Amino acid sequence: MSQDENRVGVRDVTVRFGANVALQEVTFALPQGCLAALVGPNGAGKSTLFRAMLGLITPEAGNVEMPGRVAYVPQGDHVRRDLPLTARDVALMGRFGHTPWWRPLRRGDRLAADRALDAIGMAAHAKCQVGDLSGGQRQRVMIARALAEEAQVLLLDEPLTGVDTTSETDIIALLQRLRDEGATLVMSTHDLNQAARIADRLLFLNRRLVADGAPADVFTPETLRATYSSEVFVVDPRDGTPLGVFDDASHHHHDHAHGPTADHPAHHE
Amino acid sequence: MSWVAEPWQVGLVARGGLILALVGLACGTIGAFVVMRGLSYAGESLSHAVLPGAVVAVMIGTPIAVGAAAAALVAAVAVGVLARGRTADDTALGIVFVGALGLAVVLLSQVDGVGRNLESFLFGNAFATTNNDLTVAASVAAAVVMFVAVAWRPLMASTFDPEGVRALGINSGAVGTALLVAIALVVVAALQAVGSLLTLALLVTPAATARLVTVRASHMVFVSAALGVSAGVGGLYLSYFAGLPAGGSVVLVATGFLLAALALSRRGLRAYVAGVATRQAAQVP
Repeated sequence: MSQDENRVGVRDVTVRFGANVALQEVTFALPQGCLAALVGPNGAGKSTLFRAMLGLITPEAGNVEMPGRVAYVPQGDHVRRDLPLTARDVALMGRFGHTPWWRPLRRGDRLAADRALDAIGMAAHAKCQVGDLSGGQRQRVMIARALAEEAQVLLLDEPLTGVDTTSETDIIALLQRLRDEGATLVMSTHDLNQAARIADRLLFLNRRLVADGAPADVFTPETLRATYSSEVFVVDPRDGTPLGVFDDASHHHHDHAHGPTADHPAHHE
Repeated sequence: MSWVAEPWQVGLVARGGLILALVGLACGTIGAFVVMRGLSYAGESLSHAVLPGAVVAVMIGTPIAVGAAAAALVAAVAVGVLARGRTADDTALGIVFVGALGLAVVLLSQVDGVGRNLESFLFGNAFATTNNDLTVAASVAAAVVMFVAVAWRPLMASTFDPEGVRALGINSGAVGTALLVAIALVVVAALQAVGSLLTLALLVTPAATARLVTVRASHMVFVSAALGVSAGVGGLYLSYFAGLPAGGSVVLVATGFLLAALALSRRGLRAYVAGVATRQAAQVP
């Protein structure tokens, strides 16, 4: 398969819910082995774009081309933690789409789940209850479910939200390793600084695609102003210097008195 | 050991005991998902929503199961229609549940000579059941066990992650609807033996007990089903030898299992006591 055939392609996608336009003529392409961050305010259409990419909704116009299986990785906190399920049970769920629901799973499915847990460093916790895992460990198990699915494309819903610093570092390293191994990953996030630091591509979305490119190219005051409609703190991802506070109401930006840092991320909303 | 065999030698009692065991099996099996998905209120609402249908069935001389099943269907549609609007799910369930109960009370008060009162519908009477009731209980128990065995993966995956599971090709809405239909069938089967009020206890208590003593979902379902059957059979003996109402006896036995599990299981009282001790130790300077 050529590099082009392995590419994620979203072309002129428009999604409308009644009179509301959720996405308007969104177009971008991602090569194989790419870690992209999808950023934008609440209601920007990030979830809708994921649903369109998963084939759960049919766009009113445009089309989506995926190179193979697409997996969705929800936030670790958005799944039930009180169920009697082990990490291995959850990883095994990634195999459910490979076998008709009425047929029993095979040994190969169980091996694939074990391999996925091993790949994310959770093999030792395979028999642990999901509810007993930390937020970061649970997030990794959700990624294991996607790996067991043998997906070429992973859509991750805020994978770094609610995890401690150590887990965050581990998950970022894991995502970058998966990228290096050829997976295409799209992660939605509200943390602009982090997105600019770890992603190869930034997709700024506010119903339409405001900007798409390498962080160094698109992480600009103009893009931020066009994407967000209220105040947002940002730092330059290249050297960590504050870019300022952008306030769309005044259409000005001014230096923030305390100089935001990576530890004081640009949480918007 | 003649006392063990004694109840089973009396035709009506034996049939009642068999129905209680089958209803316990069905309730325990599907009840595991009622507990895991937090559907206790839906179960309670459904168990009351079947009442008007049961009363009408008695009035017109059709099998109670038919009337109850029809009422469950109407109630499910009514909840669905209400919940699609601006009414919250639990509010829709509450409206239908109370409305159905009110309708049943009014129907019973207006009709003479149906040979039944509200109490018999609310608390059931396992020893006044017919062969038709036995057939319904056996069919429903078999159908529910088969449903859970065959649809195990969609049921578990959609319980764990209702939104994300759609990306795995599983229609979580259809799974939820199928589960509600199964609960409705169980409620219909249990109506004659344990009544609409006590059915909820059989749906919830064995499963909640099983949750305390198991760490795997499959084990939870097996243990819940076994506890449901044990509560049914144990309730039969308690009722027979102590001269107590069968429905209430079944629920008492199920509650006894729960209390024992609470006292003995690692997740029950022992976990609570250990937690208190740990917290107290942590507070020592």
